[in-house]
Amino acid sequence: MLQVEDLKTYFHTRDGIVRAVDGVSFSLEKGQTIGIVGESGSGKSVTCYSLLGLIPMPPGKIEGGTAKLDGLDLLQASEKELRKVRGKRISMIFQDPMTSLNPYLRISTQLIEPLLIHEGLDKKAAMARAIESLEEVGIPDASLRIRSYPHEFSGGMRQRVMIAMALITKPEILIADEPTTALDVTVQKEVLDLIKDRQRTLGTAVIFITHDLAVVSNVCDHVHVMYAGKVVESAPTNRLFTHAEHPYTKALQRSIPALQKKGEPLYTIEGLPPDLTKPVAGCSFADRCDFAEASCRETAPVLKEAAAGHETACLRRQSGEIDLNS
Amino acid sequence: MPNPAMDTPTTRLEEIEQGTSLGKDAWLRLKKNKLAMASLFIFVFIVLLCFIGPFFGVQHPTTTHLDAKSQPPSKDFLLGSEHLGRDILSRILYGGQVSLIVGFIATFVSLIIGVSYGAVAGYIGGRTDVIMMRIVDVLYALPFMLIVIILTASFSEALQDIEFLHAMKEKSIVFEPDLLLLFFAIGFVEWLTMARIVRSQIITLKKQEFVDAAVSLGLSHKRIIFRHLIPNVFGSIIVYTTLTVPSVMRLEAVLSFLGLGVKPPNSSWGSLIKEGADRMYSDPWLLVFPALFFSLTIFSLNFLGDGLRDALDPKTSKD
Repeated sequence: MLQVEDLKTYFHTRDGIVRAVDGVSFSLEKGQTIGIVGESGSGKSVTCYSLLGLIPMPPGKIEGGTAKLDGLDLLQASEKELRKVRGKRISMIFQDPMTSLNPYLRISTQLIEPLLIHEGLDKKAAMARAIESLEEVGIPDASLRIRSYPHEFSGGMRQRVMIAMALITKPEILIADEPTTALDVTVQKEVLDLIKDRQRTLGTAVIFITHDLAVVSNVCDHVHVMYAGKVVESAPTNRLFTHAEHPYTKALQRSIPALQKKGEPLYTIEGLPPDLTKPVAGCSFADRCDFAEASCRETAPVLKEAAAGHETACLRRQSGEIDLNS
Repeated sequence: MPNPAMDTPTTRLEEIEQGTSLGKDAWLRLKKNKLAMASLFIFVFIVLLCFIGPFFGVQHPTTTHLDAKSQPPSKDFLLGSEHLGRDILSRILYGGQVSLIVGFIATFVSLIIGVSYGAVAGYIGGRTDVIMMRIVDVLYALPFMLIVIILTASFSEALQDIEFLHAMKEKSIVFEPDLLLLFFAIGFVEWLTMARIVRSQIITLKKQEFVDAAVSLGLSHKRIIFRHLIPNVFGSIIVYTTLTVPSVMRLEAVLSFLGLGVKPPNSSWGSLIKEGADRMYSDPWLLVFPALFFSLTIFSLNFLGDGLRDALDPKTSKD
């Protein structure tokens, strides 16, 4: 349904060109959930912002690639065409529910807007639908609470409102940009369950952007691991956790605190992600990789299939020199 | 007035369920500010006096009493009379109508232009913003008096010839050509600051996530600017408006003082103060009373503006 090919989004800043997204490809089928995982600055959010034309331009610029939504290339689409896609076919929920609702407008005003714009409903019908949608995301006394202002809701409740708002037009794709990062752990699970539940009911495909591997294992069918603007590994979720085929993914999994021995210092990946303004000749993870050799710093790796439906961009794994799962 | 029932659990709950609007919150906070409330009271009182007072047996402001020239305040002339025997109280009330109308209409004109212009420039940003704001800078640099004199000189004649205005000015003083020019001249100058204020606020606001969220829902830019962003700057707009009204009234006074604004036999507080200043040694009441009304109004609006700024400040809100 959605086919992203070789997406490149660069930012032209005073310090040089930041290659935030550098050749990302993935596809999304109807009703599927994919995860995009990576640390801060790996380009996972920029990838999705690019799809909806939310990149501030300038300084941002989409330098190449296609993103076909049933034949319509989102990267080439006019503002007018995009506006018909946004909120109607692709919706988005954001990281921080405290700032993603307009503090000066009632929940009702904000909630009915997509219906007024995309479905041409009158205010009364839209209100009825909005109340219904609030009930569906588990907000008690929806018909009363809908008249409140955002500051009268807690963070978790606001994220529920955001989910209701994003799904009110029954879009085909929902992009969830770290929807649980800003929430308490207890609320995180509720919100994740809610998204899963709504997805099952509506048949929506979901792109989950997160840096939390636990979230990924919980909700995603397929995972793309991003590092420094590139996808380094792509695999079905179960396989990724049992048979990671890229040293970076391995290192990420080793860093999950819950899986480490008590009493020992926590494992962390040494070093920092590379400066994206400077083109890297070889593998961008080479400097932090335990398995890197001289050749890793010379040839840029590309994604290649390591097993059925499982791709990795590690040169040494591709050549069979190392086996990460022995 | 403090309301002890406010903090009982039941009312709190009802309040939450109904949802207190930000306007209501602000009003509750404003009510606690005694100076602002006193100012509001004085201001409303003066407005009512000017617009309703004349219906209660005040003499016509242009009727002359040559037998009672330059009278100090007395039973017949509560605030005295001037050199042609016209009643000062009546002239102050009618003049107040002019001053207040000019103050509010010119502010309104500047509000509409300034807010839209500033919001659009701030929202679009980039080169458009630079060009739009340089235009504002250039207009800022032009001497205000020059603009007004040019406007008055070039359009005064033309406006006098419009039949419609002649017919209308019998009904309401608002259609007096001189006043119309004043609205435009003052509005034309005052919107510049408003545009700058709104632009800077919009620039900080548009980086917030809710703007991205609004875009991602498929809202048009026009809708985002006017339905989502401008309500967020209402606080600053209201406060600046209450500060603009007195400054506009002061401008009107300056212009009338120089003979560029309201022309005799019409009066405004500005023109009355000018007449009074000419005779302040012989007939001080001619200066004192119009100046008193004028200063009271300006003071009360300034204090009200200060109070509103505090009341609308989100930092003092509940959460």
